[in-house]
Amino acid sequence: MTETGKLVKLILSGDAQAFETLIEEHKPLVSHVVFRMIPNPQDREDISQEVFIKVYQNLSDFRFEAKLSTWIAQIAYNLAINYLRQKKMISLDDLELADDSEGHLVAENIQPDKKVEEKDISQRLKTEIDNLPVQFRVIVTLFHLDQMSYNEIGKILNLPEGTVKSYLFRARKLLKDRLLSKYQVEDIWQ
Amino acid sequence: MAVNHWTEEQIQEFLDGKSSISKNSLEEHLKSCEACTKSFRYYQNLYSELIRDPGFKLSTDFARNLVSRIPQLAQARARFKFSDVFIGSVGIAALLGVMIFFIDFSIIAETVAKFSFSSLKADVQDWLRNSLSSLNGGVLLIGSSVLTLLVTATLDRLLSGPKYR
Repeated sequence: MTETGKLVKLILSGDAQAFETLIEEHKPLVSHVVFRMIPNPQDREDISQEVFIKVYQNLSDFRFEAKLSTWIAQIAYNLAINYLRQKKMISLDDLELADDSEGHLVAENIQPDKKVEEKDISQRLKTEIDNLPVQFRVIVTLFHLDQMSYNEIGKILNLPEGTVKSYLFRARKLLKDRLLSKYQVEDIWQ
Repeated sequence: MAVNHWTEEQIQEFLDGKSSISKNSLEEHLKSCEACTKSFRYYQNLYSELIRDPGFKLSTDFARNLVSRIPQLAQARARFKFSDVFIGSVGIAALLGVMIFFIDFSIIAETVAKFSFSSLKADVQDWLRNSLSSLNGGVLLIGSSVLTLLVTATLDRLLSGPKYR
């Protein structure tokens, strides 16, 4: 039996320590998804808690068809999407990005800002990621921070692999273009 | 002479380690192409920024707080399972009730009494025709269809588990 299998078995038998281990192992992944999607800092912790509560309550239904991390991230993504829908912070259009949406996204916020210092770039990038459509944000985060594959990300967002790849490319191009045009970082990035 | 620049997609694929183009051929091209070198460096810098820890931190006692709620969670888990079984049972009972109410059992009894393999096909056709005609109009037919769907959906939920959609 794999380590994950043993951990799941222990949790199902009521081992609290095993559940704490699962939380500690998957806390970064859940925080990446939830913090990237939820703008309100007060709600982030509550939603992250809700994710692990769902995990605990439904662990017996986990069939090992996907990685445990993929399953947990899927719960986190769906809970965050439900929250955004309830708060009317997201519409169907935000989830089904039209082909012309890239043009719209490039055109906005294109006014050059003051020159930035190297140490500012991380903060500017964080701001620009927050301005991306929600799916772009999650895809960039899962790919670069959590080293997930297109296939795993596709399972989490319920998107085909090709769409994940295309959104990832578009997101990075948007980020690069915005950082160059808005903050004039080319001197630092030469 | 026209220069074949690398597309931004090709550069990203290369940096993702998913490009079919070799490192040598990239290096050769970058030596002689200023535009691609610039684009490549921009993406290289972007990639190194994207893997930096964004500082998303949950509270330090996050896991401990959750674990302390396990008795409550276990209770909720038990309630969740019970409700599934309860909904499934009600659905099945309702469907059986509708079937028992509308099916003419005298026709079935008669059919069983007269059963013979040679006339099986004709008997089944007769029985179906009589049973369906005994239903009181289309509304009842639709009602029983809806109940069938309810039972199917409930069974699917019970057997396949939650999908978080």
